[in-house]
Amino acid sequence: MDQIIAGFADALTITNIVLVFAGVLLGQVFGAIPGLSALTAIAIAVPLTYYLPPVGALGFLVGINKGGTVGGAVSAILMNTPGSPEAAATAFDGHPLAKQGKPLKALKIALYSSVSGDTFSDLVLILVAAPLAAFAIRMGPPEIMSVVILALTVIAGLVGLSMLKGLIAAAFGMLLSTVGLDPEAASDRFVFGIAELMDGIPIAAVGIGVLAMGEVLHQIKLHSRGTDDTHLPLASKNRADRRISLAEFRSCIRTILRSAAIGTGIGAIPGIGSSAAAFIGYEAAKRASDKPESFGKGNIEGVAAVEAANSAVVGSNFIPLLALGIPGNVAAALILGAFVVHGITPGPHLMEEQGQLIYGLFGAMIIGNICNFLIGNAGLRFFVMVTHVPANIIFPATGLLCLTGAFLAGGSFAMLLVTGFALLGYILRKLDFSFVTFIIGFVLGPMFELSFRQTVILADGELAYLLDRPIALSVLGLATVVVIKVLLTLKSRA
Amino acid sequence: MTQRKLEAAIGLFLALLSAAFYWLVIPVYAPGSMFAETPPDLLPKACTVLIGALGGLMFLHRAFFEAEDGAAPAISLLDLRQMAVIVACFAAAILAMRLAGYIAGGAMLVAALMVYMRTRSLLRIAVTAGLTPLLLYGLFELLLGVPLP
Repeated sequence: MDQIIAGFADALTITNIVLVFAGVLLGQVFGAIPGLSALTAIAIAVPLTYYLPPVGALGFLVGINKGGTVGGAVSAILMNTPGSPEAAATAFDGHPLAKQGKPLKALKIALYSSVSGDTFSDLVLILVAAPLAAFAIRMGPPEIMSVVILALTVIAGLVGLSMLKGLIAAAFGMLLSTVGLDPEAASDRFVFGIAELMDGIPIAAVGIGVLAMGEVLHQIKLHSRGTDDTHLPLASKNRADRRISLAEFRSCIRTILRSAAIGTGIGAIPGIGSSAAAFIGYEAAKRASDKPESFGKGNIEGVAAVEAANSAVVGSNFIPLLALGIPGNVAAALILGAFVVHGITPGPHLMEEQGQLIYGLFGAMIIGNICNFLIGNAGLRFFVMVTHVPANIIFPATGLLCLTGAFLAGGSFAMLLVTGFALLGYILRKLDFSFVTFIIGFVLGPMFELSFRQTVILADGELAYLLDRPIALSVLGLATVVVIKVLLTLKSRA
Repeated sequence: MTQRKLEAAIGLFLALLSAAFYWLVIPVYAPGSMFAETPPDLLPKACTVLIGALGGLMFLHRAFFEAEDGAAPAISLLDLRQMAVIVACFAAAILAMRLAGYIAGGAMLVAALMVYMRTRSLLRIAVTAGLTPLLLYGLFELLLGVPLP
């Protein structure tokens, strides 16, 4: 108990509060710029934390991570350009809301859901880190493979109006994800002698190209008649369109809790990440809704589901990191580096050896959520001013921003890739091939392939091996139920 | 050409392209390996077969089972021609960035796209084309120390 009080007291010093505040602000700004992300900010900030006290340093980095999840939603909603890959699904309902003149409503529900999801997973982390870590350690390649298969079944529910076209797009995304070095034999696949393709096609190039630049091309063509229109209708003056009422928030609570639980569960498993959590959360909300047809057309529950799920990953990623020393994703790996710099070795004995510091970190996380809420709330009004900028300024500028983001992610070659993917995105849009399933296929493809091949090696080709993995079997059973359910509901949608 | 016929043609094209990819491209550009327990071409082949099969199904469905509603095709040659002009602007800007630097290439891109969107005010074009790359350059190169082309 003394350690808990001392830890929280450490977190509540003015210096630490200022550091967490600065981290959240930095994270929101970086998250909102396509091509940059909280990850970039953390990578830049890690060396800066060498000179800070341990709790302040970790609080600063965690603040960036938290701010990034909120920032990513801003450009997804206002420009249909996700600031970070996990915010891609935020655009599905967020951008249509902005197009209806309700950008502030979309941004507010994104902020509230993000902070709620994040707080939920932080509380889970604080209360049940140890038992969850023991569970997470049992998640080997077969379990990860089965979770990815479950996530892939989500595709079937997101295929849009035509199941055939949706599945073709998903398979094409998976095919493109195989470009680069083979994960097992290190032989190259579809590299065509281009050295830059050895590492595969960067996700940023696909995300920026298909989602952002594809939309930019579409809008440039749409607005090529020389008007001074804004790209979005001016934000509505109606008070109801500019706020989230208590009744609206209450109607989203179940969705937020469901998504937060999904995000927390996925975050506790190393290697899956917030993009998968966001898509699974979105699909779960759509399935549970009384009006699934309203999803994708500006349903606030769609925004809430995605933001709560991807933000919940942030807190629970610390479960394997603190309890086992295994970083759950790249951001956690960078933060692990900061732990090591400060002489802290995460692992099973961390709580007993550095209890005060860990409770200090937990305190900083709670402060981070409060800062995220306050900074986000204050900043939304400024972000909405984007809707007042004429289309013939915003889209050329966004086009340049996209190219710049691509360059930061993969150099000059990525700029060419982004341009190619923009054309693909435009064609997918025009022909009504789901670019959402294309991106899901691209994101989940490498995860599926790696875990599948690891499972084959572990099982030595014996299918009976799976009988000894009850968690994997349960998840596969769940995936089968989802597939059957989807086939039954979609059989008329060829 | 109607939307139904266009989609039937796309389905057939995908089926034929997948077959060519399976037999001609994968064996050359994603060959098997003696060091891997699972062949490296397994996933590419599975995806290609899936795309081909679904493309074939789409062709059959649109060509023989879907009723003709006379809807105009969602994309036309004119659309593609206009898109080619916009993509050419981006390609030229990338080349200009490599040859003359980020600010010149960026200004060229923004100006070209604004002209394409028929912006009439020369002042607006000059200010936007000049300020946008300068602001981004200032943010990344000067403030964050991230090098741009």
